[in-house]
Amino acid sequence: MLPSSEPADQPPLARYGRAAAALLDLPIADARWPAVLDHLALAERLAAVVGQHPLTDADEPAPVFRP
Amino acid sequence: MSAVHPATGARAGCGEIAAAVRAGAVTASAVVEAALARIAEAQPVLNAFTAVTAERARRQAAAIDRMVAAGGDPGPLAGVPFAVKNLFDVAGLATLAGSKIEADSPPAGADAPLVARLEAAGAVLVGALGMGEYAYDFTGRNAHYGPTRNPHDPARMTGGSSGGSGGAVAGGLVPLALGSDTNGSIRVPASLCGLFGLKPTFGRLTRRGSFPFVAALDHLGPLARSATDLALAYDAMQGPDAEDPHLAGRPPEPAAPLGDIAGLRIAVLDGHFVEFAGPDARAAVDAAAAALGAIRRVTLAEAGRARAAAYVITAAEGGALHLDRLRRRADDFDPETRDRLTAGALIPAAWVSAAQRFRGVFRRQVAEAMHDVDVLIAAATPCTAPAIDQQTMELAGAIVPVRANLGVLTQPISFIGLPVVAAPIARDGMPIAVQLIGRPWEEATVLRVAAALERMGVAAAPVAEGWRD
Repeated sequence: MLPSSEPADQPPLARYGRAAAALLDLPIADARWPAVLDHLALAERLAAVVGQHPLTDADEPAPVFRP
Repeated sequence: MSAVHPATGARAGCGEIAAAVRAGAVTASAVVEAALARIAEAQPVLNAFTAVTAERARRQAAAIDRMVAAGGDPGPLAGVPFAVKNLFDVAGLATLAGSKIEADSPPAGADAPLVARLEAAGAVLVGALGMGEYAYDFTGRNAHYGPTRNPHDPARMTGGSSGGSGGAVAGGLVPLALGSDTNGSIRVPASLCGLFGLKPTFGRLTRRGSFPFVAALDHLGPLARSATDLALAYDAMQGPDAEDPHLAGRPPEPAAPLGDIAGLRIAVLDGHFVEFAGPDARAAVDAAAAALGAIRRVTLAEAGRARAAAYVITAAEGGALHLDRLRRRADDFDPETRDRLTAGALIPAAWVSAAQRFRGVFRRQVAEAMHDVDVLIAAATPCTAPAIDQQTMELAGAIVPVRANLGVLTQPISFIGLPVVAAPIARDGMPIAVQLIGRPWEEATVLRVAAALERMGVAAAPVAEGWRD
């Protein structure tokens, strides 16, 4: 559920960002939201670029941690 | 013993200093005092240092001199002054990582292992160096401590985030510095300041005792004014560390002395690496390729996507790392860092997982492309150093942000952890470097190629004098 102060007509990214910040208990001043959403939108665009590449179930994340 | 031995000068390299100190031709104390004097002179202009450990350095130098006088050998870096990006732990100093927030942290209780290993080889730590906040930076700008300035022209940026490392070595203050490279933060300042820089293979050098940024992508490495000096430092820093789980467990593979390049197959990267290289960058690659006889071209078709994936992983891991600081002290972040990290903290897991999975895909594709090629050449930065406060630049026919795009050519390579030497190409005007990219664990190979370019006069890292104007 979105915070009650959020208008339902906001773009999905803004609604998601505000909901995620609330879930994470991450306060973000109103004046900062435009810049935060600009950066989140850039991440969304780049994630979409990554997402255009077909991955199979066998494409595991690259190993990093070695016990 | 001469009071003005060349080994005390700004132009002396690590090998030259160590040879003179080991031979008793100059004292480590004289070398260190000369370095401290240069730092004091340049600091008001270059702003490379955030701390100078003068008394510690004098004690270490005196101990080396006593060892030499007693007939002992202090090691292959005897008396070499060096400094470290302030994300390395230095006993007695708060590990700032370029931030205001960490200034409130207690001082480090011990040196980072890489600092200790360099000192065990005879080097002398003289201070900690400025950097972009929490290493999320390609410019060297810092709202808390001021920008590090390029010794070739202080009106221009050093590049970052290892900006102080670039400025200190290019200005001849020290012959060796350590930096970190998550997406290009050694290679970008090496290019903009005209230095040799080594980003080793991911998992090669221990990261313990350094402030992290992106665990999946962080590398540590040296910057110097010759390939041989890089090799001396790199060799001294190799070795196991049971307390660093990211280490791959490779045995030390010394790179020095650097041999010739007979038989190496060298090619030039095109596609993404040409599209996003400006005229100076393309000319630098052409010069290196011509000298090395590299006529073959190799395309990494997914390089752009690799950069996109590196961005997503960086933002998400960095945001998650700093989440609690963002909750508690958002106003104490550098504004240029804070909102990017905040957005990163909000990134959905599915985007990050896809980016990590694509990493394996790209690694296989590049391994296939390098099946019959030993070294790949690409520019290290799209252009020479922009002005300190420059926000945008023209690249590939578009106006783009400087801050994000200085790493457009380095990010795809560190994304899969390949070893790279940034080698500055000899030219008039502001410097620029090429990347010499090797297969995993073949640091020695790319260092050999860099040394060959030096011998041919194609690569060079002269001490910058522009800051004195």
